[in-house]
Amino acid sequence: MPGNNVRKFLSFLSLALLCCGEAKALEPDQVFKLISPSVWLVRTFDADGLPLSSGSAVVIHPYKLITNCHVLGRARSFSLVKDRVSYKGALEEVDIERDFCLISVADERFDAPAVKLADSDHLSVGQRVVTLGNPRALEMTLSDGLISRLQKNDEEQLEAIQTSAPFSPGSSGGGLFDMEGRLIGITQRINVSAGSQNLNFALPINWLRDLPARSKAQLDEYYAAAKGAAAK
Amino acid sequence: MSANAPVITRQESDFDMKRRVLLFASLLAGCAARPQAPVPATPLDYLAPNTGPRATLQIRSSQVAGVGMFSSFEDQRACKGTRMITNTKAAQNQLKASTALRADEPASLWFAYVAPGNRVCNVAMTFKPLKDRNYLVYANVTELACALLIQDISDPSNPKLEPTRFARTYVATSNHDGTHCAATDVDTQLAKPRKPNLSGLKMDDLKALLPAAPVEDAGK
Repeated sequence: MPGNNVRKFLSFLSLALLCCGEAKALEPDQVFKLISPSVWLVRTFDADGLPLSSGSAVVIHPYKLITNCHVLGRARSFSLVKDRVSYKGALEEVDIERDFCLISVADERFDAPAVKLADSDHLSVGQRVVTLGNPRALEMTLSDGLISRLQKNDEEQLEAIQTSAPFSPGSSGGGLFDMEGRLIGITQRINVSAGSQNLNFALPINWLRDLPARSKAQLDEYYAAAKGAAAK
Repeated sequence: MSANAPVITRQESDFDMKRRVLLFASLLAGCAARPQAPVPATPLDYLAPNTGPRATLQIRSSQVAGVGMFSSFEDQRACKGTRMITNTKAAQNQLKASTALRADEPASLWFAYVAPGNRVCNVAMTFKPLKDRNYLVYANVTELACALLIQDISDPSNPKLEPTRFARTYVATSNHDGTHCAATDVDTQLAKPRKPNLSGLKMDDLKALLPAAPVEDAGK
């Protein structure tokens, strides 16, 4: 009957729409392919140009990357490195209180794609995640796990994403991604106190929204204090 | 343990213990200073306030192998005039005591510790206890350093780092009536909001990389 065919077609269409309207969770290897061009190794150097330390950074906009400020601590200069290609980096915005730093590459040849950003205010405990970074300068190390806990402050604001996806020194500034390859956090610290196992913490990516204002406030305060000290 | 390390026996009197703590603290923290007046053998005991607004202070420490003394001061702003609250002798190598502090005024706490081998650490902090609140100060001693952690435990299920706390710069003095902290504007420090710093950095640690300071408009 034509009526039945129409109904079948409509139900097929609605199923198809349902299917394609929802984002599809990828397998870890697919996520890796998607995000790996956007995660870079950060190498820092001292006043003599000698290597100081290393970390990770994620491209969030053309020529702009996010990392942890502590990766850059006490450095005189730094580079973004991938596949033996190196670009000189510059510090753009600083939030040392939240350990969020925005860095840039001026070189036009730096054509790394920006990752998609998730909304870190809408995460779930138990959600599968992957992390990509450069632990111990081991470039592009992927690991997976779950969101173990969402650490919130007294005002119910997200302060940290606790995950069972393991990371190590050098992972700092790397990305914590959902299974659609969207950036949900920046891998920042691990709990290494005695008896701790796999307690890893990332900073929520929504903090990026506050970065310009917080950076300006902190830099203004710093330069005002420096000016005051110089005037004495 | 070195040959010179103090051996503390249970038979020692409390007076001996105090004197030992003070002797070590004086010798190692301020040996170059010549006292202007005779050094008192022991500080006076802390007298907890029993009238007016008060807060409770619980004192605990990690297990210590050396000699530790926990004190407050007659003059809480200047850390002047040591008043001993407890020591490791009284608490058998782990500080455990409770006392009261005057509320709504600065309170300064000093932990002096002499580790086996005569390594010394001194740490002092000031905070502003509130009326009827319950505080825990925990002296943590490790191989490398000692630290004081002050928490508001009025709600024991939700201990919070005391927001008014700030570290004082310890000044060695051979006289217990002397001043143990570098001068600072205590009221300004107490009023300063304590911001968390996840990076552990100061802006100076990024000095070489920071964007240039904004240039002021010459016309202004």
